[in-house]
Amino acid sequence: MTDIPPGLVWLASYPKSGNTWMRVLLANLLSGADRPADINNLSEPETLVSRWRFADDMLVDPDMLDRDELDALRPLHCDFVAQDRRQAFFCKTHDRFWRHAGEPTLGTAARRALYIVRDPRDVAVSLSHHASLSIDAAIAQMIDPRAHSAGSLLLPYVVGDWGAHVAGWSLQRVVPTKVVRYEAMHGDTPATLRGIIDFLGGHASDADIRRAVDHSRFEELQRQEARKGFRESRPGQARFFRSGRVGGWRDVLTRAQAGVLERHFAAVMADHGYRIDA
Amino acid sequence: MSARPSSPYRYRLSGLSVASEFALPMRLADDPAKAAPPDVTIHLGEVAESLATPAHRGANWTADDRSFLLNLPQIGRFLAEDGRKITVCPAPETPLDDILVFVTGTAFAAILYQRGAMLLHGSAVVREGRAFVFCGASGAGKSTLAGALVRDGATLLADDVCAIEQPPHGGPLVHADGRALRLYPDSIATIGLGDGVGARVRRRIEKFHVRVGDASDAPVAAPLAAIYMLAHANAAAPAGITPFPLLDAAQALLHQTYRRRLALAYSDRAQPARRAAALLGHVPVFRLHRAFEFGRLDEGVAMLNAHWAGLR
Repeated sequence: MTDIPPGLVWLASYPKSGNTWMRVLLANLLSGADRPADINNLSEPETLVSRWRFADDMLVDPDMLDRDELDALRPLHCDFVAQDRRQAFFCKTHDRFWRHAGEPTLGTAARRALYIVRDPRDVAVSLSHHASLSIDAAIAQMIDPRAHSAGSLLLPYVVGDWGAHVAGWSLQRVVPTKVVRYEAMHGDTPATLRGIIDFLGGHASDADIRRAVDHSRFEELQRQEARKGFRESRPGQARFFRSGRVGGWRDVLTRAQAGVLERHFAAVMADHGYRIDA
Repeated sequence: MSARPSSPYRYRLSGLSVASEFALPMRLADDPAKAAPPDVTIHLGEVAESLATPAHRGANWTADDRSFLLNLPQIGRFLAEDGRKITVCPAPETPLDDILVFVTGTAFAAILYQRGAMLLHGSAVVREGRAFVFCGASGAGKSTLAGALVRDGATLLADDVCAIEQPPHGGPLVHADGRALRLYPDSIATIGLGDGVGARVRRRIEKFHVRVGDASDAPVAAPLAAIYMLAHANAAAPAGITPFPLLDAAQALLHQTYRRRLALAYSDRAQPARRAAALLGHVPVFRLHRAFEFGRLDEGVAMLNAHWAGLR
């Protein structure tokens, strides 16, 4: 039986970096069931980035607050929930770690964070498919320090550019954080999951891990999506679980397009082991 | 007890008679000469940061058996006591008119729960004498849909808070909370409600009070015929109206209870679970999945009109 200590754990990432797959892996690990978890019923339906949850906990509607007021209340909300947990709560977020220098967007009381990082060139391909953008528009979004979300179900949040997002989460020392490379999840999923459980101070048998990995295979996610749809996909999106490849950018991006990302993010890419072809 | 001269403004809110020290924009005014003695009074005054010995608390609020205190940094503090009195304490430099939405929203909800009310987070319209409620989270498009239905001939009953009364005999009633919707400019333009646009809801929020209809032509309460839970159509749930299984409907009503944690804090009086179960004995609950683009608002209206024709 898998056991994770109680407390709030952020599952943080820049969008289209493997956050959903990580949630599926953890849902399957924690369920311990002999069949795959339902992708449309993965975890707590209301995360700390949901408008409903914010209004329910804070007793004010987020759309009655201006951005400064909302930004001031969100850390209070997250910290209150973090201190109130009696079981492990894995909460997805695409928020930046820092709102301003010295001001964490999501408070400071989370027990741990997992930060998933993916080659930005592959992110660009995935983002263009997900958001129905051209590759150039996806890249423009990734280098825009003011990029932000616009969803009616989630609280509005600033994503910023890819490099600042990665650096903000991976270099901060406020919440103990393990950086998980998407490519490592692909290369050796069981070992990556084992490392995550150790980092969280949890326990899981090798058999539990093997079963969770098997229940989270990309083909299984695609099978479920084909049969019942995926509630987190965007209107008009053909498939959320599209390819999940590593290195697919080489067949899609032009040298110039890859070069834009490489020039903007050379240092952060190097820090996380993403090679730039000479 | 009679209204003190210091509370000259009189309103009818969610079935209660209110006397306030200051004006509450776009609410149903009551003639002071004819108004009943007030059930609730609203004042300016000092409010502490939190209650001394709360039985319930959130990150920014505390509640005990008699009082509820909401503390919004840089906005103000709001105290609701004994189902009778609201005290408002604006933060320094904060104009009163910028924070009234929290008085008529959360603080007034606390008063109603202290009196044992049932409140749904939804908007409501009346069509041919029957009230229909649309529940959904902030951002689900409740007010926009209500506005589109009013353009189509329905009458607005409530915009954000639906007080449900369950009389001992007969079916449940929905009480009016005003004759105005709170809408963003794109909604106002799409529906074509520009004529009724009033003040901003708050100074730095792009949302406006929009008057639809007037106090003289509309009921203060109407019998509840059906409740709809709004959701976006998505790949796993296409557009359409589907009945809720009973257990799911009870859960959905609790999920869409206005300021649910307040109902739970005063559950000895408000009894949200028992009320939800009783309501389901009278009123059907449906899921309304719809496309969320403004251009397709009419599809939702058409779906509902067809549905209502079959609800006889």
